[in-house]
Formats: sequence, C-alpha cells, structure tokens
Amino acid sequence: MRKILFLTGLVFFLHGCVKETSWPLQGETPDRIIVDAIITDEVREHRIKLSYPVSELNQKPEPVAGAGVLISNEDEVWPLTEDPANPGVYVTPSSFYAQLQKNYTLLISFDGKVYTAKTTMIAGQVFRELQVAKNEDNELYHVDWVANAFSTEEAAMWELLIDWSMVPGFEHLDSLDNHARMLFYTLPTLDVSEVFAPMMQSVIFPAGTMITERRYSLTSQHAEFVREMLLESNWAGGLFSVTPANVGTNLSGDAAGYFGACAVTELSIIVTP
Amino acid sequence: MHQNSIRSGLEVTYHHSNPGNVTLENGNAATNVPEVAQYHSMEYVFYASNEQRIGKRFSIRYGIRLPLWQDTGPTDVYYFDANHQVIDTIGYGNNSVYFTAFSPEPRLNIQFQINEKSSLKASYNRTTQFLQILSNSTSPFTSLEVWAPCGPNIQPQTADQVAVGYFRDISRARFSFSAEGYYKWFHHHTDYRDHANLLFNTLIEGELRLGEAWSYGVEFMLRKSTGKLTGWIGYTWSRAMVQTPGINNGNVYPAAYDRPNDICINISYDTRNHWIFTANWIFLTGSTFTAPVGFYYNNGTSVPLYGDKNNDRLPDYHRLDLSAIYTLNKPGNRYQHSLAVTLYNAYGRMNPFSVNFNKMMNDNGDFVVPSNLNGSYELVTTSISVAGIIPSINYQFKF
Repeated sequence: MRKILFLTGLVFFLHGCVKETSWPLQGETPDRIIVDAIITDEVREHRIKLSYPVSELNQKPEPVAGAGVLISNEDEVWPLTEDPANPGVYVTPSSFYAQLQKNYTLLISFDGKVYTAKTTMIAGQVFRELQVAKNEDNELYHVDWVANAFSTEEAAMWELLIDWSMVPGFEHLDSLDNHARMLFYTLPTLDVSEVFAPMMQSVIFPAGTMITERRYSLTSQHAEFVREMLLESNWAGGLFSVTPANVGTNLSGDAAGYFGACAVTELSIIVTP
Repeated sequence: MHQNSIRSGLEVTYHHSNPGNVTLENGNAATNVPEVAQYHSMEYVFYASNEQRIGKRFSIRYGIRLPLWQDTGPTDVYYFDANHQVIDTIGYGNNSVYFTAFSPEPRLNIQFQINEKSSLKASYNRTTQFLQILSNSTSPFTSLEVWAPCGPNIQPQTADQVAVGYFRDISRARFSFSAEGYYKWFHHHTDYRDHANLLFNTLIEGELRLGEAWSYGVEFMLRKSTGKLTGWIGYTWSRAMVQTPGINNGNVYPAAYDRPNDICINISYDTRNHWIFTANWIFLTGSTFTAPVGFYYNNGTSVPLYGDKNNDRLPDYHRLDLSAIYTLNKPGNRYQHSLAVTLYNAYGRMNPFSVNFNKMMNDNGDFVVPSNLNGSYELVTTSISVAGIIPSINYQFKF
C-alpha cells in the first residue's frame, strides 16, 4: 500500500515536470507502406487504408495509390477497388463479410513488391453496456467505465461513436465538435506502463447524446499488436515507459501495420440525466 | 623478501524471489489467471586470496572465488526452444535441484612502486552475476522490476575486466592523482525482445535475449584528502556497446548506460567546529534512447516508426547538490547526532529522462494523450524531467 501511495505521489509529482520541447528527428523516414486493415463479420463495404509514413508529427500521410489489393479465404477471392474520392483507400464488395473458422489472406501488390498477411477471426460476445457519469463541475457527462482492461480470455477492442449533434444547442457546431470516437481495450496482459499511463484527454458531452458501443473480438496475435501499439502511444510518456521499438506486424516484407479480422457486437445508448 | 597475507572463507546464501501475481476479486475470473512461479536458489561460495610482496617494489594479489549456484523447487520450470517458444514444462518438488551452475572467478592485481610517490597497477578479474534484475523500463525509478536467478533459460552473466593504472602523490601527499584505463567484456548480457512483457508473465524467461556487451574507458582523478578543505575532481571517458541476436537486426548498438563524458567535482569544507559544508557537481553525457524516424497512423492513433536502436541522446545531465551538516554533540562523545540541510539540484536544472511524441495540450494547458480519435488532435513533443530543486532536512543519531 505504501509503495502504491509513493508511486501515485510520484505520478502527480512528475506530471508537473512535463514540458513541450523541440526535438528534430534523427535519420531518414523509411519508405515503407503502412497497412490499416480490419475486416469484420458485418455485411458491408470494408475499407483498407494504405499510406506512407510521415516524417513529422501531425503531417497528413501520403496515400499509396494504384496498388492491387485482394482478400481471400479457402473458398473465395475478393478484389478490392480503390475509392476514386479517397486515394489509398481500397474497398471490398458490399456483400463481403468475414466468417469464423476461415483463414483470411490480404495480398497487396505495389511497385513490383508483394505484401501478404494472414488472419483469422474469433467469435464476438454480447456485453454489458458502458457507464457514463456526470461531471462534478458542470452539467456534462463523461465515459466512466467501458470494460475491464485485463482479461486472460476475452481480448477485445471497444469503439465508442459518440454523437451529440442532435442535442438542442449543439446542432450547429462543426462535426468535429459534436462527435467523438474513442477506443478502449481489454487485453490478456498487464504492463507497468499501462498501470502508470499518462493522463488521457477528457471527452465530455451533454445529456441526450447517443453513444454507439461496438465490441471487436481480438485474436491473441491481434491483442499483442494492440498492446505494442498502446505501449508506443497511449501508455508512453508515463512514469514507467518501456524501451521504444517498432510495433510488430503480421505483414510480410517491410510493411508496417496490421491486417485483422474481428467479430463485432454492438449496442446503442442515449445519455439520460 | 616474500611476505604473504592469505585470506579464505565460505559463504552460503539462500535467495527467494517472488515475481508477483495477479489477484482478482471475482472468484471465477481468478481461476483463469496463470500463477507466476517463485524462485528458490542456494549460492555456495568458497574464496581464497593471497597478497604477496616481492622485494620492495612489487606486490601481487591473486585469488579465486568458486561460486556454486543451485535452483531448487518447489516451482514449475518452462523450457524454451531457439525461437523462444515453450517446448516443455516440468514441475519440481520441494528442495529438488533443477539447475546447477559453477563459475570460477580468478582475479589478479599487480602493483609496481616506481618510487616513493608513484606506482603502476594492472589487474584482471572475472565476476559472475547469478541473479538478474529484469526491467525494460526507461524510467530512472525502480520499484516494479522482477528478480530472476540464472536457470535453464538464463545463463549466468559473466564479465572479464582488465585495467591498468598510474597513481601519484603530489605536494607532499596532500594531493593524489590517478589515471586508469579499463576494458570489460560481458558474456550472456541480458537483453529483452521488443516490448517484452515482464509483469505477471509466467513465460517471462521467453522474453529475454542474451547477447554480448563490452565497455571501455579511461578515468582521471585528482584528490585532496587532508586538511579542512578536501575533495576530488574526476573525469571519465567511456563507451558501452551491446550486440544481441534478434535485437536491432543483430547490429551493435550503444547501451542505455553509454554516457561518454562523466565529470564529478566534490568539495567539502570541515570547519572543525561543528560545521561541514559540501558541494557536489556532476555532469554526464545524455543517455541514449530510441527516437522515431517517422510516424504512421493505425485506426486513428499516431504510432512512432523507429530506425536503429538508441539512435539519439537525451540532453546532457548536470546537477549541483549542496549540503550543510551541523554536528550537535561535542567531539568524542559516545552518542553523536547531527542535522543536515541538503539542496538536491541546487540550480534547478531540468534533466529530462524521457522524450515523447504522443501528447496534446488540453484547454487547461495540461499535456494529455488524445482519446478522441476523430482526427482533430494536434500532437506536440514533450519531455519529462524530475522536478527542480529538492530541499531536505535530516536528523541523524548514532550510538
């Protein structure tokens, strides 16, 4: 208990010692292709993004346009077409959906190189809805609980699509100011960096907000990818950051990113006073 | 004339390490949490050394330590293949020995007295580390690391060091000067796979990677040990490199503790009338860390992309510590007590120990990690430092 109190005190102590700094990056940004690809068991168009890395924070990535992209399993092959309005975004046929007990392969051919990734999907689950709580100092609400962060058996990603554009007084705001998208995770591992992660941005919304909560099932390999990504993003810069390293990938060649297949379960709630 | 001074002895130590476990309040969930095995080890050491004077100018000290290490049950031992995948698990009962290591540690030290004021020294020694502290944190704070003994998956880490030195008394022994050079090889140096999972992990030994490391350097020291004003000035130039199969594409990289320039100045003034004033200033080249060479986005999250391991350095570290000690008792008293006032980091240098690329500034001016991933956040680069000046007051009572 004393150790926890000491460490908690240290977190607050160090929180005040975070400063903005200028840090020119050393070395050349590699010319790798980045794959952002999740397919689900929903019957709809699935979108796969291919892009290049950026050399500075907040830069908009250049798309990898003109690639050949295929998804296949043991029985079928689905060619993806590039969205003319969004170069670098490749779209499946609208009838596409991922199935359990199938092995999916993503095949990308670009600039004379071929990149592949294999994945499977595990079943989705019904789940307990999230909890919101009212802020102490105003009439707005925040997400209080979504899911336990640790479970040895039920790894999952939780996507919250939060929309208060229909709430009187908020209808005329810019779309970025009355919508939010948040991700939470349940992982089979516990990391020190996770326990002492830095403070997260607070997302607040009024009563009447609609929240769509989507649970994505994660295979153990996908959960490990997510864990490594969180170590490099949400959990970095806290009291116990780990030695930085590239996030693993299931793509061949020198591509980065991940190709995952997830079963999605979904529910919606309206925030009521 | 040959004069011998022989020493020998025997040490027996029992080591018990509990890496910790997760306890969940929910009984059903708790049954699914694997239990992390504890470690029990015995260490038996016999040592003998002899210090021998040969004539007026030579002295030689040589010896050997003979440590024997044994891991014992009760525990479950996981065996891994060359790809670090579990191939077998064996449960061992109480006090049953499942691993034994023996690592002789010879040592030799030769001193040559050039004249009354100057001497030369040369030494060789081998040391073995049977117990490892496992942590892949970049934090300067320690608290949540795991202790693990050598075993079937972790060979004992050994180090061979050779050193030569020149020592000289200056100004009727009021000052002494030394210059030493060393080279040290580390075998079975402990490293970790990228993003190793070291907390509550039953397969923690599969997260380790063993490699080679080496360090070398020269140290210069000027010391004044007598009079009211004492102190020393030291400068070290050194390098420390690591090479581990599977890490950094197998290429050599500078260790996190590779800090080429190290300067230390210590001054102490004893008034001989209750007060002692001390100032200590240190300067270190910034430690290495792995900085990104680019970024990419995955599902709305900005993810760093890295090149070579430890490709960058934090800013240089320097700090001044001041202290004033007032002895409350009269000299020679059986009971001694004193009051010390200390200023750690007296000029408030902010020495960053971490640089991060994952935070934004919120409306309150705090640096936070974005949780709204709708594309509206603007990241900034931040550094974390230990706070500026830290004053303290200590009372010490000796009896």
